[in-house]
Amino acid sequence: MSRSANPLARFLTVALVASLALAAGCAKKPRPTTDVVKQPPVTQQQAPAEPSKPAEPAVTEVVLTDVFFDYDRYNLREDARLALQGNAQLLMQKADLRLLLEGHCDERGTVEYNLALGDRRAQSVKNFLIEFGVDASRLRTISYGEERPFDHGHDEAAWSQNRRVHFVIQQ
Amino acid sequence: MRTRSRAARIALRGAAIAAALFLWSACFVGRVLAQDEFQLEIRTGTLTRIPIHIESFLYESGTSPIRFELGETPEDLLERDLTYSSFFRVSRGPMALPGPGLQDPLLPAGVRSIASATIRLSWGRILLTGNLRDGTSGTRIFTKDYALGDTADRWAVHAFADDIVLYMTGERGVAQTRIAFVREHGTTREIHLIDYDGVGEEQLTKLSTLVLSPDWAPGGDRLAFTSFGGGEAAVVGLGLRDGKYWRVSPGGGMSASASWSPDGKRIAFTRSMDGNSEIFIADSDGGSPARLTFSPSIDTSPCFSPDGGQIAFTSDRSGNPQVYVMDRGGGNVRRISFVGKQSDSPDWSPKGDRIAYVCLLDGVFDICTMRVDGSGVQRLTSNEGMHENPRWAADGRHLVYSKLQGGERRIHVMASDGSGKRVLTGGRGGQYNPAWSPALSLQSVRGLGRP
Repeated sequence: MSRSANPLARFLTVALVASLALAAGCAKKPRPTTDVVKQPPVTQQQAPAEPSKPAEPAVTEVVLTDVFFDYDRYNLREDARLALQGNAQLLMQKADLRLLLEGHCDERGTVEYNLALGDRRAQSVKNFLIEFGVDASRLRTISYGEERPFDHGHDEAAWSQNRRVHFVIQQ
Repeated sequence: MRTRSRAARIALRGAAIAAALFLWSACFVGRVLAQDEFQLEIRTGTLTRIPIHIESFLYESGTSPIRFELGETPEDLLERDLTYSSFFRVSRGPMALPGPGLQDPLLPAGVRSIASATIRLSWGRILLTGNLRDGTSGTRIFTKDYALGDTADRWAVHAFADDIVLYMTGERGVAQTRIAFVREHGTTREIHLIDYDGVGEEQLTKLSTLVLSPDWAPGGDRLAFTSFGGGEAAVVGLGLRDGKYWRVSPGGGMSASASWSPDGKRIAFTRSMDGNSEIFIADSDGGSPARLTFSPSIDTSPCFSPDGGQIAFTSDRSGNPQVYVMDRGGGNVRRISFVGKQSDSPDWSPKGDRIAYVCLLDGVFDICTMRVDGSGVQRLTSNEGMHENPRWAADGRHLVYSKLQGGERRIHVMASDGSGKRVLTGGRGGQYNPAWSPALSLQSVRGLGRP
């Protein structure tokens, strides 16, 4: 699992097994266990190129960064746009990837409002990716509101990590 | 001279126009200020209470003393119910000597009525015969039998308490009610039910997904809620008698935040197809869905006025979430909340005069109520913690809400004047999204969690 740190994003690491059927159960999303350390943005994480060997399982790492939002906002911050550009470039290269964009909120505000807000955040990210050229049919959105916090704390440090759109690769 | 006077007249006219403009603008500023200065009042304990006396109950031969959970006697429970009702100030004493007109010398002054009861056997059944008499004349107000059943059910005492409330005040009590709420089960959420006094919790849904925001049908026989069982959020109904689920919201997009109309025939909810949540309404079986709001902003948390004619909801069309009201057809939308940076999660009082909601004041989420025109804001909580989702009891004198404090989210209740706050739930996993049931019969309240 990637232990890369980034101020804008945590990394989801998904092992893609090319040319062989994926084992069932790999939909479960791995989550980094390390804390995020504030560092300058890394524009893009590029997976090492794998030679095409149909007989053997070849593993490609695709790293899509979460994007984060201000409280009660769904507009994309500058850091979010930077992270999304990286994600979008990767998606343009991996045209077979289909994505679920999960909108999340911090625990402040009501359950109902946060479901709507998470929906908005996911839609903001979807719109950005579509404008970048990613085919809309590859993108699905879902809002979990405040129900799936990344950090279970009750302070701004936790909340800032929870106001996010998280990328889940669906294959 | 003539030209000067004309110039003076013009100058005068100019001054008059300027003055008028100034007055007009001052008037405008005044209106804006008045809006900002909506009265905010912090309330605790202003409801007047009727003195009532409870005598020790009489056990006839063949019966044995009844003890509920935690060793509580029926008299303890009745006292708690009557105090909880917020109508009464309760005193307790021994049984009075039989005979007309005899007065207990220990009876507190001003007692308006005296409650007593006899526990007796009748045809193999245990009955609680409740009796209420006038505090001064001793005249009987009512006598009624309540079946205690095999397990000495608390519901019999709750029913006695509600009858006392009814006879003394003309209003229906809420002792025979339960509260539906959401409990965390790891990463999933399920709806649980608990009696209004925090006893008898049971798990209602076993859907192993995110189940949120329950709302009772007015008859108390059905619930609607948000379920992620189909992959994304949808509004789902559940019949409490047959245990059958049905889908209310149309497919495609996210739907959530169900609210029953007072006649039980329609359900309002929020639906988003493209990241834009709008208020919709449909028949309770999901038929004839129709869109009510048309705004590019978030619109959610609908709730009906008790006459069914209007819907209050949350919208961030002003830039922050605030409470709005519209006619049930979607027309005549107006903002009503002007106090606080955010106002969310409205619930219309059963009497129709006030709306409870979450107010963000001084950076703290509290429970407030306001008149339906937005005036007369009362802040009912102002202690530590984050308060959410206020929902009225059917008597309009109580509110249930969730409170996050010290990392734990629990269901709390209070009287509508902010007094009598107490926690109802506990245990592992947060509890939130409460909804207070209408009056329920004993038959309908037990074993709902059974598969």
